[in-house]
Amino acid sequence: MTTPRLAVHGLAKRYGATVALAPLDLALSPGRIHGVLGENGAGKSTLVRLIAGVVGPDQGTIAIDGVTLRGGPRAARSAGIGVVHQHFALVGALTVAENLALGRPEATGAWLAPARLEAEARALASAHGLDIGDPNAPCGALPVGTLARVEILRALSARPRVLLLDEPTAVLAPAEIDELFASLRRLRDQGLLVLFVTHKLEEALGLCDAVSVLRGGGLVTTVAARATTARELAHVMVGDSSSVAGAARPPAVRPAASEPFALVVQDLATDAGVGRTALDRIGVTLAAGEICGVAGVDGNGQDEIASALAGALPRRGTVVVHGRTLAPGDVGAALDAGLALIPGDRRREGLASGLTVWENACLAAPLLARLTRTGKITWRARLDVGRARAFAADLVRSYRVRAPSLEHPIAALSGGNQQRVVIGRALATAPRVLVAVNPTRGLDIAATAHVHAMLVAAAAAGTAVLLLSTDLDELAAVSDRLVVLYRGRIAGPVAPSDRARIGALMAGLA
Amino acid sequence: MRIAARLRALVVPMAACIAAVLASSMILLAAGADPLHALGTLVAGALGDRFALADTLIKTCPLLLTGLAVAIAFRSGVWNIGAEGQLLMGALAATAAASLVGALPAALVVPLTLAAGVAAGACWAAIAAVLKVRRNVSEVIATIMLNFVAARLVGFAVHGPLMESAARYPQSDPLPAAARLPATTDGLHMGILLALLLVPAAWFVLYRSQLGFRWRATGDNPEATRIAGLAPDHAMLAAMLVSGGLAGLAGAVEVTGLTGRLFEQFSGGQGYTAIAVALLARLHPVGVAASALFFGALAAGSGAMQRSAGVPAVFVAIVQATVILALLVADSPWLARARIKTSPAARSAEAA
Repeated sequence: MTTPRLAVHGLAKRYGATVALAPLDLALSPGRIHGVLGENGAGKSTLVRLIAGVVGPDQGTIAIDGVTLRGGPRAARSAGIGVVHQHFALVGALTVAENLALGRPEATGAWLAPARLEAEARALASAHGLDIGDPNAPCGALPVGTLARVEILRALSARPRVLLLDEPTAVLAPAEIDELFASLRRLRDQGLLVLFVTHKLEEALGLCDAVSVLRGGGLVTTVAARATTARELAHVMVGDSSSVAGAARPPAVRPAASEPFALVVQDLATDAGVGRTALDRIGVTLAAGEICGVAGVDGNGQDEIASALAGALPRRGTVVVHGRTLAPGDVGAALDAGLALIPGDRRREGLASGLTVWENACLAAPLLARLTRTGKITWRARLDVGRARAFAADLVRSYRVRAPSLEHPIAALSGGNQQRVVIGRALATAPRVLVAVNPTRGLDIAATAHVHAMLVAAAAAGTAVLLLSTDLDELAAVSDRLVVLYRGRIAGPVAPSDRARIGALMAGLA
Repeated sequence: MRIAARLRALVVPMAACIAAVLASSMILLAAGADPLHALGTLVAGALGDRFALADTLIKTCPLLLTGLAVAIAFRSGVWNIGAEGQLLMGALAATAAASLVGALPAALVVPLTLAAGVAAGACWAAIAAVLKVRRNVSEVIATIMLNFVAARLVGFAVHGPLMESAARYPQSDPLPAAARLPATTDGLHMGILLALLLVPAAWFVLYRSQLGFRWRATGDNPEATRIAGLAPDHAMLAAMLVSGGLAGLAGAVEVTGLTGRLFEQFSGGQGYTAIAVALLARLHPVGVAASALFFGALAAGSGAMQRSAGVPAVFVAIVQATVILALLVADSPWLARARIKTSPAARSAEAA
């Protein structure tokens, strides 16, 4: 047997108690496009970081053409690994040609000669058949599709033997994705090994020769793309349905005919943007006390639905909370009507990390209003710190938040405990509607179970819960009913336990 | 652990001050001066006797007001570099107002004059604030540019509409006596007391009011604040108005309490020093009082040092700059990493 181009042997990485990557073996030959497929948290990004040399493994080895890698990113690059990161590392003020020379002093010498840089850029682009337009255009003004090609060319300029792409299509338009795939196929035919990391099924199937599926930090299977279907892959990716207990909770109490629905959403639509999926005529109706799960692979519109409902994203269509029609783009109106949000990105949208635990526990307009004498927030209103602390202490106790003290900055807490504060805060107003996006992402098993218990308890108390999650186990465990989100559209309903059909809908097949 | 963190918040700025004085002494040494003698005269000039102390307090007053202005803006995530321009506009408006209302009953003149200064500073800051909130214009650049405009406006005023009746020098007429702040024979004026009272007031607003909470949340994470329904734009606007008002008050207090008239080069750059004051104070009002006193003492002592030790007063500018550099080094990731590596908690975590 010949030496593989890339050989990964027993590669493993832990972060604290979390296994990010269980011992993994891969042997890949040149002239192929190999997909690495998995959900968020499956271990994809850890694998990318290890191969790129950004972090060192706890155990195991990576070898290129039989030579074992040692050292950081520079060593990985000189050993022949070219990496295209998800977020492009291009300098907007520099031209395409200058960006291509960046970080390669050997390519430029001590002095920059613009004409030579331009000639080199053109030569590089034509050698690989990648169209970069004018090499003298500043990168800041170029469309992302072109930037992706510049980024790939930059990786190729070091003459790599393995080209590693981490979710390269996240910011690309469909036409740009097709162009990228055509380029990658050409590179494969020139004898390069392309490692394509993605969470998108159809991309993995459409582009790759073979696909390795990761789940929960472990390699589940490696299959030839021709020998499998999207349905099968979806099934492997999200896990075996037999391992999950079905919904073990009583059905929601149906509201009396006179009672309005907790949430009625009709024809909800948003525009596409950079890194934003357009929503297309979303319709959902929730009764009080009901948990409606929304399954879907990440990036199909989960964050957009949550932001649009919360009033943080411009939208079209009708949103009615308990009989009150919400004005679009009005966060205050949504909160007043009783809609609470558990955002998908806790650090960016949920917490002020420099503020204390108690201050973060109060960081919501309705809660702050309750802490004033008049029940309203005015410019002159005092902050009753005693009551605020008492409220936070209560929240910390009832949601079992482990914090050294209320006065510590929230950043000192673990992710799970931060999330409990976010959830406790959202539920403290007894909202009519709770919109939760991946509420257990990054949490350990015990914390996850606790969050699920909180959601179920909230529903039992009459809150309608819209649970947008990529974790099918989670959805099966707590949802009364389930719909599937695919490319900004809702499909379903589907039985929470029907994994095969969910997988098919998630892949856009049904 | 909280006590340790509080202690650190005190010790680091102090250590930065000491490091800055030591580093600056090296420059004195290199220039052939005797650092001990120079620093001795500096301390004596700042704290040595009644007059020195009074001078220190007088120099502290504008730094305290503008320092609070900068601290409130920075805390709210608005980078107001325009305290200088807002101070100048405050002084200009106070001068104009004093000549307009000087004939009113005495009890009204001073409040109206100071109010004019506050309003002018707030309006000047509002230009940058509205541009930021409505048009996403960088407030850093807008406020810096407005500083130049304000300086030219003061220049125009003292060459034109506000020029003294004798028309000899580019300066205004002396303010009417009724518009002058009450002062002791040492020159200690009421403005100092006012500035001191504003320290607890600023603390109260920042830490005990809804507005202050919104300011701090906005400064920490505007996106999370928006999701929380707390309109970070409005909070930033309010912070900028209050900040500008405080800086404008500093200008009004200087002209009514100290100089008694407006002239070109009215401010010695207090609005810029205020940034150093606020940063050294870690944007905390009580810290601002302490660091304003430190910088005020430096300014007061520098004159004496120049006279007795022959060291130019600009030496103080070197100390000011090195303080901030030392502070930045103390906060740099490089030092933070070193700290994590050596702390016992980190070692046990690594072993786990």
